[in-house]
Amino acid sequence: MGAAAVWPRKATAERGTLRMGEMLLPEAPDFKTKHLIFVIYGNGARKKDVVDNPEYAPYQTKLIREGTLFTEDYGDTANLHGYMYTEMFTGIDPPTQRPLFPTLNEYVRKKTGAKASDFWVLQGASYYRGWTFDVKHFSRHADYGIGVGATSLTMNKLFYEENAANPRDLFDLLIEKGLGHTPKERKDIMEWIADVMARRSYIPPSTREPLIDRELQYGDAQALHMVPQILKVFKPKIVTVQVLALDDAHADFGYWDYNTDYWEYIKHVKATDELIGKMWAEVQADPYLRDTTALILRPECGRDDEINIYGQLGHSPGNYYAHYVWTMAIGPDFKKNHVVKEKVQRRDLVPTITYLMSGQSAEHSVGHVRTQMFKDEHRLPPYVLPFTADMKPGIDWEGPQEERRRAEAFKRFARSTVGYGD
Amino acid sequence: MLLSRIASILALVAASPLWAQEKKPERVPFGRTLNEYGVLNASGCMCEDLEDGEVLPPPEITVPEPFQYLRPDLQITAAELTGDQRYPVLTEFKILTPEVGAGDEVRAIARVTSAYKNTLPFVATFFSERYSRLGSATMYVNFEPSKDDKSLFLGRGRVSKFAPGGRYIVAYATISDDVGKRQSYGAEFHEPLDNEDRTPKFFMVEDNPRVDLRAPELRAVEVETPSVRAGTEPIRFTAFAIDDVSGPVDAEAVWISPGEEKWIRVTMVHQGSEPGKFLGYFTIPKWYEGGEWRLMRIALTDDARNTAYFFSKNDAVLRNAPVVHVAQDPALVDKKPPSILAVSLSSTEARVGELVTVTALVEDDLSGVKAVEGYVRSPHGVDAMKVKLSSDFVDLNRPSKIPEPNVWSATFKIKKSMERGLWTLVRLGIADEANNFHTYFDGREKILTGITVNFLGEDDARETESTRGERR
Repeated sequence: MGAAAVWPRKATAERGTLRMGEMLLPEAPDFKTKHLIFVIYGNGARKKDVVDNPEYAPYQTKLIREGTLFTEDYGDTANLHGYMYTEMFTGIDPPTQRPLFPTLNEYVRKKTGAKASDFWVLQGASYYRGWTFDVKHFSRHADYGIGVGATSLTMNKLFYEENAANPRDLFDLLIEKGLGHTPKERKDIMEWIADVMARRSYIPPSTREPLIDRELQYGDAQALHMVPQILKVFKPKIVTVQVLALDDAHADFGYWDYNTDYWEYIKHVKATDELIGKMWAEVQADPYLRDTTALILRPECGRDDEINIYGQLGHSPGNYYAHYVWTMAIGPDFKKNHVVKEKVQRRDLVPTITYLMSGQSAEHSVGHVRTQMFKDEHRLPPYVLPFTADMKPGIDWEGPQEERRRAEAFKRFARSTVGYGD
Repeated sequence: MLLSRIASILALVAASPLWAQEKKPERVPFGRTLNEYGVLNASGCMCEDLEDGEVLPPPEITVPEPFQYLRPDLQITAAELTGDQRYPVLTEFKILTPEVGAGDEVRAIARVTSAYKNTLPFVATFFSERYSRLGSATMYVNFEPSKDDKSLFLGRGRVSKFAPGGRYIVAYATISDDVGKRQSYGAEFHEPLDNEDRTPKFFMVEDNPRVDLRAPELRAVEVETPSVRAGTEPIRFTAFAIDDVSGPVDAEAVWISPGEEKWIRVTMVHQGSEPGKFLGYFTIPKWYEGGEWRLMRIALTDDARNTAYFFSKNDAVLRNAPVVHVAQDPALVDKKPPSILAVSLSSTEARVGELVTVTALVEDDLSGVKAVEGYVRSPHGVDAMKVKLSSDFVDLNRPSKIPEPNVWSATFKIKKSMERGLWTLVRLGIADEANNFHTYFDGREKILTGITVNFLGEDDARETESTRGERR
């Protein structure tokens, strides 16, 4: 990275400690968490419709007792999903949709020396309402990049009944080259794909609120349903789920392929709530995963305070429920039945997850580690809210071009065969 | 084909475990072929719109996913579309002012290819590389068509005099034509917006000593009218703000009713003689509930376009702001939305350019119907139109004709560029004078299900030719 990075901004941290912005944390803490499910409850959900609403979200409201709930989790912006998603992945408010700075997966993978199949990013579809979602699993950063990225799977490109392609072709077509899968990892993933296809284990369980009969909602359900399966087979460090279909609350703002509104958003809240509950229950039923797995869930933004006259619920700057959402964190290192009403920041999750899973800092992120959620035995310092207009690292556009060229070449290849969704 | 599909669905249902989702959404087969505009164009190009020697490129794009999760320009289904569905395509983009100072003008040119030759003016958004989307770090360039060449667009924008220095990269541009085709182009996904090395095109802003990235702060709120009567007496209140560099210039407040069912947005006006002082003045509508109304939010914006939001849920100044007691006769409180009693279209078939009337019979128990607005959609959703209904009294010189506030109607027609086939009234929203509203959806509410009109192609024969008023 050529230009000046800002962190650490002050004096070098003492030996055995990490400086992250205004905070000083112990290096390599003794955390019990080995695996993390990170759910970006994405494209906008209000806390009043989920964690504050036992009628709509009985599973998640019950889970609050199992962990820590942040109730005033702030995002500076409340629109443009492609950018907010990248902020969730990098801990920086970005000027681009594709990450310029390392993602949480890259930080943890590089700092722990883990392999490509230790990190998964799952999404129902690649492209929806003007935003591209399957480009978030690695950055173009010269010191990180695709070589320490995550294995990304798009459900509706892979898991469906008519898909007769063999797993080797699917692997070659749908998973970027350059992620560094070893031959054994490739073989394991191909065998796993074949097994999932043969057993049809990609079909999500039924829910009391039936899934809306559209592919995006189905893709969300598939992604949540795949998490325990991936955890059991690969024992990965992080599985990220990008939920997408909640944005159907206002999906025909210029995208008039079908009619959607608040009513369908609530239906999807109810269905995904049950799927999240079942996903976590399956993890808890596994004697190994139960004691080693954490769940962190946050929407990248909320939604408006009021429903518009067309019965739709947008997400606009200036609405309390659009800017302020929640984070729920459950796991062996987090406090139970703990509610944090202190204001925290969307950019915090990357340094928090990096610290949790590697004991190290996310040096380019401008968020802070949410120490409120960690058990007292870890003796972490008080959280400091990062300043909104804080300095960001400069961007070196010239450095990471090789990774970019490789990615572009892959996409050209993909387009020349069955197409690619951006 | 159909039988095999049914058989495969039956096989899936039979083979799936009981706990599985019974039904999987339909999937569009791989490999649909599109033209360069990303659209399957069943009716062929609009050749009459092309200049001599100008041709549309051969089809080469394939669609791997169902239509609804692709870009709008890739919305196709397994069925052939009719009409012309091409979107304007941004083919060139060049920034003419690579280095500017704060407050300077940025110029750019763009080339847009449109089958219809009528691309509308558009805006390209730039973000500061370093500060991303903060107010003064966001920059807009407005593009207008050249008088001599309608495909050439000249862009101009002015950098805020409070903008931070550094690189400003183009983020996206959303371009529409006047038949309603719209496409958004993002720098990282559309080559003309990128440099040769595929980094977004940019301009530089010199270092600026007057940079302002901090939004104003709210210092105090005063409410001058502690109690009022709904519908008659105004509420007057004042907000006081401070700002470090450019100074606060705009404010907006939101008031909320005791039951939290009604919000009122109030534009506050800057009292220029007293910097930082904003005055708000409004009246609670006569149909709204009484009780203790309170400030829910104040937004403050400075001259650098940095905006801060203050919410009563977590801001001490707003939380402690005085409430206003609103006196109201409970019999006047209208919380019930109006309803639709009947709705219909005037015809089951029409040709391009022919008017179709939508008529709705509505009712409201108290304040009266204020607005009815519908939405008609083409068979595959590639075209849609809003239809705003009205209840105009037409004096027909008949004593029996009186105003009919419960009958609302409007006409609509499709253009030749739009998709033919069965158009559906998919949505009808209705609101009363108290802003209570309800939206009816095709398929969800019986009263709005199956309200359709078949728009015929030029060569299609009518099933029932109209004879009413026809001259022979």
